[in-house]
Amino acid sequence: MEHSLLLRLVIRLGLVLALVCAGLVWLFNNTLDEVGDRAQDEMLRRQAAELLSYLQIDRDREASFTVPRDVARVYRDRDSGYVFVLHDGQGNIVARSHPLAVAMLRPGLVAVPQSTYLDTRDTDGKAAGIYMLVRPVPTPRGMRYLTVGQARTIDDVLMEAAGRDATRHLLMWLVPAFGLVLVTVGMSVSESLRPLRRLSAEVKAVGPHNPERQLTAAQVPSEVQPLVEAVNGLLAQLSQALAAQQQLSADTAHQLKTPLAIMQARLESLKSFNGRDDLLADVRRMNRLVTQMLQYAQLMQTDIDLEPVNLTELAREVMARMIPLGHGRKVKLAFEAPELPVMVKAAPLLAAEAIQNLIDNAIQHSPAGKAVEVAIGLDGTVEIADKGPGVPATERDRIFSRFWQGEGRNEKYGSGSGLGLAIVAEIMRQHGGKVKVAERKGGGSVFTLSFCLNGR
Amino acid sequence: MKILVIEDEKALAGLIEQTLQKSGYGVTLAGSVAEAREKLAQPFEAIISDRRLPDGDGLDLVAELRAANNATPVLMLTAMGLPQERVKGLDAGADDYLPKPFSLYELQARLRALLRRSGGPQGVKLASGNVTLDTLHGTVQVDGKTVPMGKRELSLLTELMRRAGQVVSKDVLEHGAPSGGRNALEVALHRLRKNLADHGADIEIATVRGVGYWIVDENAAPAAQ
Repeated sequence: MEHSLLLRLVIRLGLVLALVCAGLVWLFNNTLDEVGDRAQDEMLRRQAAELLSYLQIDRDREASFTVPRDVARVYRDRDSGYVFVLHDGQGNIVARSHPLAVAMLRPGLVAVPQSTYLDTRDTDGKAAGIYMLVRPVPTPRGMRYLTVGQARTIDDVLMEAAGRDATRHLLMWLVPAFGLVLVTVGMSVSESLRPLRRLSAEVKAVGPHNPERQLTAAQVPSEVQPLVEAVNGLLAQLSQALAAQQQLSADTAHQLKTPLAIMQARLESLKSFNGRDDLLADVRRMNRLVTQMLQYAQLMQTDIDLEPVNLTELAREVMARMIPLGHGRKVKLAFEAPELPVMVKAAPLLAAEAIQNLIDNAIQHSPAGKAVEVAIGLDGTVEIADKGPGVPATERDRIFSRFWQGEGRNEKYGSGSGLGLAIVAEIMRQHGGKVKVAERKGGGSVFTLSFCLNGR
Repeated sequence: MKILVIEDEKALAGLIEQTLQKSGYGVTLAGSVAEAREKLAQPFEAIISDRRLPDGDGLDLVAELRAANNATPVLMLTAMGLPQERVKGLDAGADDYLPKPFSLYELQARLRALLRRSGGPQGVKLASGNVTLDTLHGTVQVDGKTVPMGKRELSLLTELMRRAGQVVSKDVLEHGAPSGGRNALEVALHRLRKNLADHGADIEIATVRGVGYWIVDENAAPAAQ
């Protein structure tokens, strides 16, 4: 999962977008604050400028204000929020809007910056922020300082709430917009990768039976195109090599048949001599091996056509062929099938070959006097049970590979070539079915062929 | 009995010739399709032919014969392994198919079966154990003594003896006599077995449940390859 291109891209892009989002919100908030502060400063400056325009120096050379009546009313009204104090910087008050102003502006009566906002307590103890500004006022009696203030009013609170609303609005747009970006990127990446998924399905479908298959380059992103071409080149080479190999083994097997046939015929037409029967058995074994090699090579080169087949009838025909063989080895064959026909999808000749190989195998491994039981199941299975030595659990998977022979079994059952079960497995693979082997209760083994039921 | 053997592999052709001659057949050899065509100017009882010949496919020759209404039974020899190939041969008109490499014993057994099956108008004498059956006259003898036999029993015995050593399915046996109930076949076979046993026949008609019946013949070659 950590190697998923899509996941990596979405996570990284998500992180970047979250950062951008946070940055934007921060910047927006900051800008809002700054605009507010600047407006406040401007208001304070105007307040100070207006007050200073009413400044007079009285007879004892002290500064005082002569304020028009309407302005004075505003300053007298405690609830207006406008206050001022004129002081000498040492704590001595020269003039003030009203007595409470001193308390409200107390922090601004010593060294105070150009303009600031302070959280102070109101007279009734409630939190009441105040903006203030200090202006130096030169007088004949020395430097005086005018500290003007504007308490935070309901308008300020509303303004701040509006700011927060604006931020929330911004987020409400930003988050879905970025989500949309993420989804779009994810979807287009996923879409561009879809041909890759199809490609891997195509690669999986290539096997020894169809190595000539090529991958389709259509719709594949151009970045991946060279890989597809390289794989196709490789497939073509492998296919050629495999075809040559298969042709070689088919040709070899084919070429071996006639000399072997001659050898067998010569031996058979000779008068009996010591060891002739052993030689004949050897030649027959070679014949069998060569036949199976040819069969296997041909099987790997063919594509099969499936048609509806009555499994019971098919197995019955094979039984009829195999019974005389069993009789010759003193092995009885028993057949069990349901009353109803069992219709499966099969290539009849190859399916019959698979059944025949397994019955043959069972006969070869059955002790004389024991029976081989063949049973058809309604689920499209053929079971072939023998009372031979059985297949050890550890070998059950391997017996279907080429040239497997159980340890120590060669001596006893010399006729096996090791290809018979591989042929069965290949036939079943081509049928989309399977073959498995299990232990038979009371000794021996049960081979089961499973075909696909027709109409499923 | 004259047999035409078409095989380009000289050593193999020679061995087949020797073996068949020992068994009392008259053998004519041909090494190519062209040579076989020449030899076929005269009639043969059976033809044994290879498939891959220097100047063509033995199967084409069979198709030619069949097109010319020549019904001489043909046994194909071939090195092709897969069952499809065998069926192709049978479809082309060959009567039987023996994959190479084969046993000379099996070749002879197949040839016997082939000749047995294609009795033709003159009929054949079938033999299993001490039982003989003349298909032309419809007579059965055990150790040379005639056994009286009903029509149904005779047709069953004929089918079984034609395929002695092979299992004959119920369907094939019932084909000759569509009438009768479910157990008609079993009843007829029971009567046949009893009749043969009463007259001292040494052949055994075995039942394979769910598959069919057969005359157990220890000498017959298995039909399966």
